Amino acid sequence: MKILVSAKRVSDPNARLNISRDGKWIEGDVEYILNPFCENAIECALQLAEAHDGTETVAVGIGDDETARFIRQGALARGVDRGILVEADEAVIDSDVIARIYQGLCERERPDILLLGKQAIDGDSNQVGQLVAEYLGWPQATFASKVEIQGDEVIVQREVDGGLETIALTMPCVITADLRLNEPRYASLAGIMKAKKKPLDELEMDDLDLDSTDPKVRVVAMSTPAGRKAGVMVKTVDELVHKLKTEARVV
Amino acid sequence: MADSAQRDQTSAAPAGGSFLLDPAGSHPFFTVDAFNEDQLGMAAEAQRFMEKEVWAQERGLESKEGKAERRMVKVLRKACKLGFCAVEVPEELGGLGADKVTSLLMTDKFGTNGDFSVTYGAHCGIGLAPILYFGNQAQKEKYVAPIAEGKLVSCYALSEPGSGSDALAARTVAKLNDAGTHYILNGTKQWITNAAWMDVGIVFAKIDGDKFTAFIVDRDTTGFTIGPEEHKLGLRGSSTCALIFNDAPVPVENVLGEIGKGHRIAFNTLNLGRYKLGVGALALARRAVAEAIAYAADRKQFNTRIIDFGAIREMLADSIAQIYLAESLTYRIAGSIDQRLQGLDHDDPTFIEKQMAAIEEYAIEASAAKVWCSEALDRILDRCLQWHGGYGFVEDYAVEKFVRDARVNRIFEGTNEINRLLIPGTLMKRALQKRLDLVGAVTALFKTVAVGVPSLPAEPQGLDTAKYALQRMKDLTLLLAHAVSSRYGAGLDKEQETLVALSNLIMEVYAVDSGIGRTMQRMAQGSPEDVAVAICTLTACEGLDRATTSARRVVESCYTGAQLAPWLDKIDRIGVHVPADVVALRRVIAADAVDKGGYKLSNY
Ligand SMILES: Cc1cc2nc3c(=O)[nH]c(=O)nc-3n(C[C@H](O)[C@H](O)[C@H](O)COP(=O)(O)OP(=O)(O)OC[C@H]3O[C@@H](n4cnc5c(N)ncnc54)[C@H](O)[C@@H]3O)c2cc1C
Repeated sequence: MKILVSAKRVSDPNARLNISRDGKWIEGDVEYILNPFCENAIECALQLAEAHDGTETVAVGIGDDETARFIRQGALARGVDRGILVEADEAVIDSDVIARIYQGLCERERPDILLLGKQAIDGDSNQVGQLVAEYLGWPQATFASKVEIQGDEVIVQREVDGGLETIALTMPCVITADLRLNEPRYASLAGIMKAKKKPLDELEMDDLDLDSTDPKVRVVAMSTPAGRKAGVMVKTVDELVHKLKTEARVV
Repeated sequence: MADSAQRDQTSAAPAGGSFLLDPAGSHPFFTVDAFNEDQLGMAAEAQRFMEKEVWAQERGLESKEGKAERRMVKVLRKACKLGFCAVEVPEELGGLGADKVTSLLMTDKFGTNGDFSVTYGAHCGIGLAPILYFGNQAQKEKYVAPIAEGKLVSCYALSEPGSGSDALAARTVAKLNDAGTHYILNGTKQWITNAAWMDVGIVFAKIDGDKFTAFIVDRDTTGFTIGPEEHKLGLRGSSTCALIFNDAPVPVENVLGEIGKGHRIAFNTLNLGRYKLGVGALALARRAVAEAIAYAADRKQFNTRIIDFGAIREMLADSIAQIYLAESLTYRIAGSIDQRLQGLDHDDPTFIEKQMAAIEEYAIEASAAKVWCSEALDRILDRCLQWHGGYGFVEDYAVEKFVRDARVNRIFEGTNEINRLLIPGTLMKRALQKRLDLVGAVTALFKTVAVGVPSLPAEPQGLDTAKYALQRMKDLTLLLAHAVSSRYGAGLDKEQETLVALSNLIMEVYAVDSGIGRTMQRMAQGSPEDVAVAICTLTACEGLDRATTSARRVVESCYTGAQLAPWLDKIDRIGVHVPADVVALRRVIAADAVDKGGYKLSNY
């Protein structure tokens, strides 16, 4: 079996970001982390590989050279077998281009499962898994909280509004990971040292024969959240309840 | 080819103590600005580990119930499983075989929580190093991997109720039994970190009451018990108890190293631990400053953020400056040791000797790191607590814990007094052994003073002012070393007050020299380094002020009348006043830290 899994870097949610002068992207010394949902996807891929002998795991990153570090540290150091970096300018590409890239990669690598994070916590688009399943014509299971292989099928428990849904998919298929899927492991120090000896192919978008590389979505403007308004002090519980009812409208 | 290139590098590692004689930047050294991708990856994973496994239950680990549940041991075992305790273990014993810099980096990351840091350090630092360095093959095979993997928890037992600083005065004794199979141990070891959960320990005892020797002692030894948990000011999440030996038989094959040579094991192990303690202190300082900035940026008084008051920013600037110097001076030691170890052949029968020699070479720097960093930490934490106001005094904020945990750094691994005294003592010994040309340097200095000390460039640029002030600090230190040894000769070791003053100067020189050397290396990459230059200028100029005053006071205590005047005259010529706008310098340093939310001159 072969599993292709995403390793996307996202800007650190705890870091302070500055918006670039043209108001359309972030700039400066941005600190990055691995997208937490990709960590879940990677952990899931590793667990499936551990449970099924002969499984090959391949991690994919899309971005500039720096992205390679996240493929190595986030995926290869944890045990993923090899990596692929597709060079692209993250400021320009949209979810659709990313989905097209994954389509190209799947046609090239022919994995049994494409495992992605349900969304990236920077753009929060939550579109890539769905789009790529459509382009490939593969079944999809989004928001997975449990993944098991039984015979020729993948059994996925999904987190849906108000409960859980369990579905069975034929392979090849697309799965997107939710937070409760698993607890991502740490990389061992030995794993970190081994990671740089594992293969990491670098591809350009041109290498993938994509139908289209034109983004359909363009960032018009970015802005930082408005500062928090000052709180108000209340003198009595009655006043608090009154304000909660009339001003905050939460009770 | 590779071999000879390596040897060249080895010879390039400067002699210990040479920072005093050579101008700043004479020998490039390792800095945290040069970690490789592996090291950065390990640091990131260690950081994640700390945040999730330790910080997240920091207060819980401190509680008495926490200890009963042995939560700390669980964390330690988890760290071992990930390989954090096998960093320095050679590959042939199943470790990573990484260098001293990498190992120091792990100590750095774990230093942000005192409880875990000391548990980790006692287990796979001082609790493992003696076996790694001095154990025979059978002992290594039996103990190294299980300790590194966390199957056995280790400890190091040197101190006793009656002997701490004077460790060789230990009263624990060992006597061979009639069958010649076991040494029978009697005595008590005091303040032993990891005691409650130890499975194995390095225990020092005197065979027949006089041959100081190290033993590996297993937990299940009969006649061996563990005393009650101490109630400590800080490090409450760590375990500290006595080890009590009552006719406890230890098999002869558990003698570690040579009989009667236990002091070599004891002192070399401590030497290794000292600069690591410096880095642990640095790590806690960095974390405390980040948290304190966050607090002071949030709270307002007089409609102004606390962090925007000049009186607070001044404290912040001093803290940032100290962290930068601490970072520079500690990793410099590890880098130099690595450089010396690089060309060595592991199969060489004298490998261990050579390794010990490489570590001993930097004994002055290691003691300086221990003292300077632990004292910088306490000053930094005191400031951080201060600008929390009343909130700094309660358990709701972490700084209260940091202050309690930090204090013991000045006591263990050799008290700061003992380490202070070691510094000039070692320096003088090296001068006598002609390992360091102190005499030549003093002769050259006297010539310089006679023709006139050079003056500061009219329009100093970049690091000019800092380098100039540092050179005067070095001159004063050499002059003072000469003044006191001329006065007291071999009796100098009885003059502790004088030695302490000299030691303070040497440490200050080492710290500022490390900061300037590192900044020169950073600037060589083409960046202007405004903040680092401000730090160097500030610490060098104020360091020179202190050095001048201290030098005067010392010679005034050594000499009188006509004998005193020439010394004071020389001090006046060297200790010129170097002008600097220290208010502006501090503002530059503080503004950068406030802007970035903490100490961000390094990035790992
Ligand atoms: C939390 C904690 C954990 C510890 N963990 C360990 C451990 O794991 N293993 C271990 O072996 N030990 C451990 N120790 C012991 C520690 O190393 C000793 O406390 C330390 O060496 C000092 O010894 P002492 O307490 O006997 O003080 P003393 O030696 O009695 O010193 C008292 C004071 O006198 C000063 N002094 C002593 N001699 C001189 C001198 N010649 N000149 C000038 N001043 C002098 C000292 O600097 C100090 O200020 C630990 C201690 C603590 C508190």
